[in-house]
Amino acid sequence: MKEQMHRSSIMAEIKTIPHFEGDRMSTKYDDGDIDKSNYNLFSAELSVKRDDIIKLGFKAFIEGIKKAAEELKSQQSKMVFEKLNEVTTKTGNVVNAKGKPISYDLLLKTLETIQLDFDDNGNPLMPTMVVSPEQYEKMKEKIVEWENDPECNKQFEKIINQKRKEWHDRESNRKLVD
Amino acid sequence: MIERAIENWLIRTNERNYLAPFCQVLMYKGHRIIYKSSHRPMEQGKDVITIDKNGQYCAYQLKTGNIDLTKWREIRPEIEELIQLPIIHPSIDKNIEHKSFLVFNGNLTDEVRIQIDQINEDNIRKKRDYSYLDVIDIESLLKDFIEAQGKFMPKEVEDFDLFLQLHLADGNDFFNKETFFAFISKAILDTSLKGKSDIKHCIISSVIITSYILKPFQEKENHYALFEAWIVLCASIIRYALSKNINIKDYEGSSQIALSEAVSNLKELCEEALFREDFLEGDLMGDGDLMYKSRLTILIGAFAAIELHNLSINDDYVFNPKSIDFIDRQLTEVWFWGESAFPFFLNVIHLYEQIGYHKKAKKLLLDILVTLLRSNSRINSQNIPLANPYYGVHEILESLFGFQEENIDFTIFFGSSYILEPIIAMMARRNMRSELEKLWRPITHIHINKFLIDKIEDVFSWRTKSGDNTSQFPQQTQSWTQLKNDAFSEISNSSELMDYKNFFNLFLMVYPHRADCQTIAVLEPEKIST
Repeated sequence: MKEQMHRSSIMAEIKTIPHFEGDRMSTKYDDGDIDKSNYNLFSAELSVKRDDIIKLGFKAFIEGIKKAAEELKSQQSKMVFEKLNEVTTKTGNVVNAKGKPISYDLLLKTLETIQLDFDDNGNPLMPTMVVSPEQYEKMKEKIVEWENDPECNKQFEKIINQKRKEWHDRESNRKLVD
Repeated sequence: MIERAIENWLIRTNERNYLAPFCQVLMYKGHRIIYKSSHRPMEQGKDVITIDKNGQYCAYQLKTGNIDLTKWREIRPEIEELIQLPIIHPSIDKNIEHKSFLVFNGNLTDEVRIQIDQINEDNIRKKRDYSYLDVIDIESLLKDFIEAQGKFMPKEVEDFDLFLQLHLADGNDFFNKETFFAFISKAILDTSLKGKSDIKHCIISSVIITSYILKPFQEKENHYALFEAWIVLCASIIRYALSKNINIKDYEGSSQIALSEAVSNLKELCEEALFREDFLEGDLMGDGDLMYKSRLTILIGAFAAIELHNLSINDDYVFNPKSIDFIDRQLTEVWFWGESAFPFFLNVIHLYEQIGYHKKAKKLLLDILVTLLRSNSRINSQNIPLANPYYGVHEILESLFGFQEENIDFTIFFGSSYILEPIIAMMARRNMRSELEKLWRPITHIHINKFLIDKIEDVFSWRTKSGDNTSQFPQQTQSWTQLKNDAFSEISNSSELMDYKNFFNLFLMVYPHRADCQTIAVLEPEKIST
């Protein structure tokens, strides 16, 4: 069930840490803001017809398990995106496309709003972009186009260099002072 | 069923294992325990000394099995000491008379009974100032044990299941602390009780039933499992008493018995280790390497814990050079298997400081921090990260060797730690600014996790539903002065737990997930060398 839930899911990209006790959790951000939340219960119904069990045996359950896993996956993903919306709206980290299709400018604008980290060799640790399957189909060809466009690359590099500078500034602030 | 289990255990066990519950039976009968031997032959032939409810002093000699003439002749010198020598104890006047009891979990043959009668009569007739010798045999013992156990027995099917899981364990493995805590908390330490005498009685029962449960581990002389079990019981009693708001004097006797059993077992483990050429155990096919190194980690923590415990009860205690030597020799061979290993090293750090090895203590603390940063750094993918303290050594080993149904995904521990904050606080209290300065950048990339408990008694709980799982990054630009002030104020913030200071170095070995800023602050020495 767990495996099925994580298959081709955004949840597979997100680290899941089990909590063994407690009834709530909270995260304190660098700006002192505290995000408090309670645990949510996810549930799905597993129903299998008696006739199917008679005919197919255990195999009858497999389809049911898949359906239940899909349901749980959908509930979890929904919760994650609701939380993301809540946090980004709160911090003002929202770029509104106003119904227009995703353009390169919009992507760069989005990149500009987020904090980007780099590895010790100065390479950017690029974030994962989540889009709907329909959006992805539309974007696939455009991504190749953007990657081969020198002007797009120039703009991208400019932002990355700016982000690298911000990262250097942040890293140099990580110190003990009097 | 439990009565049969008591009988079955009582007939087969030895005096070393029924000593603790016997003391509880005496307490149930209104005795105050003055002395309880720590499983060594005692001078004066007295294993237990008490004052009964009428103020009469009583001395007990405990034996195993039937007493026939051969056994009687063997033990007679000890019995003579029991009845002839006065009680020698700092709190007892030597001129005060005492009652003597020979206690054994078997029967007495008629020949021995006649001899005891004759000895008593002869002493009276000749007006010898010796104590009268009474006997407590299996029949009386069993009756007393069942009476003291009282109504505090598992009643629900689920509780019986927990009892059987524990009672039928093979005794070779680690002790199942979670199941034991669930059993004691649910089936014995009844939260619905209101009356003080019932509450006291159920605490007494918890000690007695623990002795039966531990039968498989007693038979295998699995000292570490026994140590863990008694610590869980002691913690459960403290938790229950705090939740019931009862006075310390009403439960101290029971918690002290549990603690002394834990300490005795840990001492026996250490004594055994001193005579061992190596520390291989059981099936050699599954031993060695990480398994062996983790055993050494437990042992150095145990040696340090015993030395610290001895110091806590005796200001003039002289540290055992053999223990120090053992720790020094094995410290290079140990394995920091995960964050749950920290309390074992914490004991060594505190012991080194008590001896005056301050540089070694600081180096060890720094080594742990460096290991943590190297293992759990988000960017580093070379090492297996240290699992958080909720994962014990056996779970980590089983997972690394692929024996678990669902292996631990160690990658989830990248970028976070539960022990980072207490380590930083310890270093700040020790004025280790330059060391922290060099490492501050990688430190700020690790998420600090901690579990904030709502109710003080839940510190002693294996798990609690009430509390907040918090996380935050350390301050990127951190004031040293502030860091140091905060670290020292943690000691004053821990005042509520100071009553349990002497328990905590043992407790955290068994409950490593409770090793946080607050509990570690309790353990810090009064004067910290900088």
